[in-house]
Amino acid sequence: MRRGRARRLTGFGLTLPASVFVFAFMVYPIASVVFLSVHDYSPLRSSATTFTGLANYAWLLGSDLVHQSIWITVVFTVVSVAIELAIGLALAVLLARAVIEARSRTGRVLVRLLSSAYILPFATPAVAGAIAWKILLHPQFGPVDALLHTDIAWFAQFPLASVIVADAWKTMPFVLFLLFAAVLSIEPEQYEAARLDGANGWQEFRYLTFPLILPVVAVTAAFRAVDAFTKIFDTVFVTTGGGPANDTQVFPLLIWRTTFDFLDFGHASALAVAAILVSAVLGAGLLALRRASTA
Amino acid sequence: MRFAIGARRLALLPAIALVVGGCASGTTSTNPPSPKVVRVLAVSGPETDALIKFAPEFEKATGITASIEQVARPLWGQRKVRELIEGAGLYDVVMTGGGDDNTWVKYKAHVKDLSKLLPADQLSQVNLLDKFKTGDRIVGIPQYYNFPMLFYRKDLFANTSEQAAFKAKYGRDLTVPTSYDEMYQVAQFFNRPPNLYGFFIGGVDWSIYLDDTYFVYGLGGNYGDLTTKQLTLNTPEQKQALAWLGKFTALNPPGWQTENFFDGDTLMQNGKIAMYQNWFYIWKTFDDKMPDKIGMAPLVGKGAHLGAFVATIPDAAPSPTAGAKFIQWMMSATYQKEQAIATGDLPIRKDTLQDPDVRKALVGIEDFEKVLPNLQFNQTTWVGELSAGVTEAIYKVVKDNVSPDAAADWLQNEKFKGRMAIE
Repeated sequence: MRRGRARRLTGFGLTLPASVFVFAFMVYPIASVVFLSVHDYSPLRSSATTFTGLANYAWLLGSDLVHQSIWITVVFTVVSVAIELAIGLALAVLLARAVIEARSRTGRVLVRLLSSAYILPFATPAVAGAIAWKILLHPQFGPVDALLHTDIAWFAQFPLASVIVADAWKTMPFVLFLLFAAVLSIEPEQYEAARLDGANGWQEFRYLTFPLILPVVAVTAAFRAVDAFTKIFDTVFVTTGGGPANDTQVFPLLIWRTTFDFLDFGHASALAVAAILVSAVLGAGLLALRRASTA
Repeated sequence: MRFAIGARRLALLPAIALVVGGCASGTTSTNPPSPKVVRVLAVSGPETDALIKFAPEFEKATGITASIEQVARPLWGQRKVRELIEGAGLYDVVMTGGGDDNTWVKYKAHVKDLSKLLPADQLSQVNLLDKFKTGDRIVGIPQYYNFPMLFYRKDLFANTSEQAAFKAKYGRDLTVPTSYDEMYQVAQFFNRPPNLYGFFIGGVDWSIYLDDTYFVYGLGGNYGDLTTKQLTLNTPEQKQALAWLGKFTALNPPGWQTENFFDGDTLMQNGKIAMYQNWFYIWKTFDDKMPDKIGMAPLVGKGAHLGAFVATIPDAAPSPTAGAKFIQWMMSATYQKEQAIATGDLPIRKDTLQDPDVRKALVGIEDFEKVLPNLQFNQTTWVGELSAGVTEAIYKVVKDNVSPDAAADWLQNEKFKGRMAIE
C-alpha cells in the first residue's frame, strides 16, 4: 500500500516539471486569451476589464476587415500550398530519379550538392528572405525588373501573388524533402516491373509513384495548410506591411495589429480564439488523414 | 525521512536570513536607502544610443547605475501602457513618443508631476514646456526635438535651363515652394518617369499616416478637439489633406504603396525623386554626402508634427527619486549639447540652442528654429487605431477613386462612428 503510494508520488514528482511547463506556457495563456475574449479591455479607453459576453465574437462576425483578412488568408493558404506541392513534388521525383540513376562518384556528389542546395531557402530566416525578395523585386533598383526591362512594382501591383511566391520559395524545400523521402522509400523493383511492362516516365509517375506517396502528400498538404494559415506573418510584415490598403493583411497580422497597434485586447483575443479554432479544425483533419493513411 | 527533515531545515534558512537581514538594516539606519539603479524604458534608435553613450557621465555624477532597456518599436506601445496605465512598476523612467502619445499620457497615464521633482531653473530653460502640461502639472520632459522638413533637389532648382523652362511654363521663378499649390506645381514640373519622379510619399500604413499629419497640421487641422473631446476627421482641413495626398501620390515612383519614408531617403540619394517630406534625422547624411545636390526647407504649411522622446516617471516607479535625477541629467546643458552634436537633433534647452558649438554642428538650425514654435501633436488618445483608419481613408481616395470629402465623411461618420477623441 505504502509502496504504491510512493510510486504514485514519484510519478507525480517526475511529471510535475513538465506539467508546470505545459500549464505555464500553454494552458494559462490560452485560458487568459479565452477570458479576455469575453471581456472589453482596451487600456487606452478604460483601464477596467468589463465582461461583454459574446460581443467581441459578434464584432468578429460582422467586421468587413476581419472577413477580408480571412479571405486573403484562405487564398494565400490554398495557392501557396498548391504551388509548394506542385513544385516540391516535381523536384522530389526528379531528384529521386537523379539519386537512383547517378552511377559515377562525381554524379553522386553532384546530386548530393544539388539536393543540399534546396535546403537553403528553408534555412534562411524568414525576415532575411523577405528582405531579399523586396530587394529583388524593387521597381527602381531590383534585378528582376532590370532583367525584364520593366518597372513593375510587384509588391504593389500584385501584392498577394508576390507574397505567395516569396513564401512558397521559403517553404517549398520542406515539402520537397518530405516527398523526396517518400519517393525514395518506394521499392526499386516496382519501377523495374513497370518498365518491363512498357511504362514510360509519365506513366510510372501517374500509376506508381503518385498513388504510393499520396498519403504523404495529403499529410504534408494538411500540415502546410495549418502552418500557412496560422503562422504567415514575417514575410507579409516585411514586404508589404499588410498593404496596399489591407490587400495582404493576413489573419495573424490582423491579430498582431489589433493587439500591439490598437491595444484592443478584447477584440484581439477573440481573433486569437478564432485562429486557435481554425488550427484545431485543420489539425483534426490532419490527424484524420494520418489515421486514414496508416489504416 | 532524514532527508525530508533536512530539506525543511534548509527551506527555513532564507526566511531566517531575511529576518536577520531586516533587523540588521533596521538597526543601522533610519534613512531610506539611496537608489543604486535607475531603470529606463526606451525604444531603439539613435537618440537612445546617445543616452546610453553618455550615461556613464550620469553614473559618475550620481553614483546611480543607468539601466536603459531598448525595446523594438512595435512592442513599445504595449510596454508603455503596461507601465503608465496598468502600473507594472518595473521602470523609473518611461520614454513616450511626443507627437502621438502626448494626449493619452496627459489624459490616461498615471505619472508623477515633474514640476515637483525637477528644479524650476532647469524647467524654465525647456522650450515648448506647455505642450507637456495639464494645468500646472508637468507630465513629461522631452529628450530632444525632431520634426519633418522638406527635402528637395537643390541642383535641379539651381539649374538655369530648368529655371527658364519652369518660368516659361508657370510664369514665375523656380523657387523652393512656400505653399501647397507651389509644391504641387514643382512636383508636376519635375515628374519625368521613369528617371525622375516629382514627389514621394511612403504608402505603408504607419508611413502614409505620418504624411497625412504633415498635411493636416500644415493646413491648421488636427484629429480631435481637446475642448469638445470630439473627433475632427471630416473638417475642411482633413478633406484638403486627403485631396493633396491623392494628388501628390500620383507623382510618386511605382511601388510607393509598399514603401516607407526610409525608402524615400534611398530614392532621394539616388536622384529618383525631386522632393519629399521627412524627419530631419536624414539631413546630416544628405549634408555630409551630397551638400550640393540636396537642400532642406521648412514644410510649406502652418504646423509640423512634433517628434521627441518624452521622459515620464510612472506613479508606480520603484524609485521616482532616481528617475528624477536621470531626467535632470538628460535635460542638463552638458548632455543636451553632447546629444545635439552626436545626433543632429534639436536640443530642448533655450540656452543650448544659442551655444556656438551647437549652432555650428546643426546645419540649417535657423530653419529648425522657424518650425519649432509650430509643432503639433495628435489630439486623440488612441492614435494606433486612428492611424489605421486614416490609412484606409487615404486608400479610398488614391486607389478606389472615392472623393476626399466622401472618404473624410466615411472616416468620421462610419468608421469611427460614436468614438470620441478623448475616450
